[in-house]
Amino acid sequence: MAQRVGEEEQGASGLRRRRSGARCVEARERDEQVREVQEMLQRGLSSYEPVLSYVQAVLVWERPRHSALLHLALNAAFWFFALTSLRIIFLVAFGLMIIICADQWKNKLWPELGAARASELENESWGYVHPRLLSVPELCYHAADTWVSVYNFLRNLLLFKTENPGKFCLLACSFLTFLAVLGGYIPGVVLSYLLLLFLLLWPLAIYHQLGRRIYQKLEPALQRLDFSVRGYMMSKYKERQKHNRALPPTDASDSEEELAAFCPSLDDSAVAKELTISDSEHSDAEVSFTENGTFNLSRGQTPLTEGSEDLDRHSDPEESFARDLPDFPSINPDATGIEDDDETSIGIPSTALHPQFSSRQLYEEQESLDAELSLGGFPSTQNITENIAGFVTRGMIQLALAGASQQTHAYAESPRAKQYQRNSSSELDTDAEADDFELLDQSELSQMDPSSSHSHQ
Amino acid sequence: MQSNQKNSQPFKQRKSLASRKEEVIGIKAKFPTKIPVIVERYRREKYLPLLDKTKFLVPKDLSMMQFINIIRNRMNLSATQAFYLLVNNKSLASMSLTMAELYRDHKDEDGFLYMTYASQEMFG
Repeated sequence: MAQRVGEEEQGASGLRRRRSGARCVEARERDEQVREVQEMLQRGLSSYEPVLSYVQAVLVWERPRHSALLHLALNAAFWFFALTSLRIIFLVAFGLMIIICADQWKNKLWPELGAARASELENESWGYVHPRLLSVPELCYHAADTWVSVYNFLRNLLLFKTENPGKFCLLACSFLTFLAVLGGYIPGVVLSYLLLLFLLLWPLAIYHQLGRRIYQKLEPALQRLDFSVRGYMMSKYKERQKHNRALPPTDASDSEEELAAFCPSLDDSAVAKELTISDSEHSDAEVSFTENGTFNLSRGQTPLTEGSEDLDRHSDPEESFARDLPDFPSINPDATGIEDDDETSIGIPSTALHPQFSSRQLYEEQESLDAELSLGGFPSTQNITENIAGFVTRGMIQLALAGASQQTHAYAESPRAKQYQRNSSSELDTDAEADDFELLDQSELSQMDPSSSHSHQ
Repeated sequence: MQSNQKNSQPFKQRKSLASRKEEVIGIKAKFPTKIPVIVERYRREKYLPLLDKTKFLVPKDLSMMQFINIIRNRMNLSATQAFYLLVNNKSLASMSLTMAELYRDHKDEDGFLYMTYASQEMFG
């Protein structure tokens, strides 16, 4: 036991570190086994990388001519063996003879030639990178994985056999009966030909990701089933929420047709696809939520309200924005002392700010004048009043100009801001909802001011 | 033991400039559509395993992203393992660059493109 632990420690490398610590000992042992077999295979196969990648390329029809030749040859060989009248012992002996001769030739005669061997050595050290084919280490890993799986399965089967022989007998007999029935109805030649075809076409199917494509074709239908139930539940839930909130009654023109105009008619596959994407986005949001600790899940709710709840979706971010609006530093000019231009850019209605502005400007000018006075200058009182009047008018004009230049911004945002202020008092009691939308104002702000979004991140 | 010693030295110091140039010319004559790339482990790297090969022949239209994925698969890294590939031991290349562009901008005087992999992007 201690020795094995020592071996494990010795073999510890990057492979082990990336394993999670919670895995059980058996999984670790299995990984060790896989790695051992993989290293053994890799030692044997690393010099055959060009050959292996060539074989893969042929199997997946990257070289159509060679692939066609291979298929023809294999078919011919198969039918030759199926229809030949030669005895099986003869064939086996003959095949072994050819293999031994080739082996001798490669290992004994080629080193004699020398030059060819050197160039091959040079060739061996190159790794071949292909975007879609497997490299030798990957192949070795998969082979080792399969090998260890089969080995463990057989070991467990033997264990099962010794522990409860009755069940084992029953299981084995039923399986073999199935095979016997299959063999009785279908001739062996056809079965083996099907097997050959399967072996030839299986890499092709994997290469073109046939399984995934079929799944993608089927997925909309499956998702539709899922979506219909869940969508129904969600719509019911939302309806109830709406009633509880007791929104002001809408006009008759507002109800069905107008809402229908806002809801695009979606076909099933598009809905399913969108849903799958939004599902993944949802999980992303969850991940980021757990990672930052600050990010909120509000994004994940958009797909659920999609189509049916357009009105709701528009009002919710605004409420949350309005709720946090007083906390936002640049709103309160007296406390922070930010310049005039910054304030108008936030989109507050400019009419509300005019008196504030003028008074603050007055105050500032007064301060500067006081400073001038204390410095020793003695301007007359008339001068001061003229200055003040001039500054006030200048400030007003500046404000008006700034307001005019940012009319386009303010036009879009000021009514919303008003709505925020109106909503903020009424919506503060719904704490749970407010919590849901804690961070949406961040995204909103970064949308408003794209230049600052980088600094946020 | 010998292989350890061999691997501890960077490829550039194992071979002379002339032999490296010769090798590049030979391999380019043999595979004109491929780019010879040297991928080595950062010498103070502790977590990532060694690659089985140092020299790689890479198709020209392969993007950096694909190449990194291939190297990751080759090392059998899990998705959570950090992996950075540095060009010329100093800069992280853009993922969207193709190997041909990378080769044009960063190739060494001997004709190889040198890359180093590490589990952290900051050194020192």
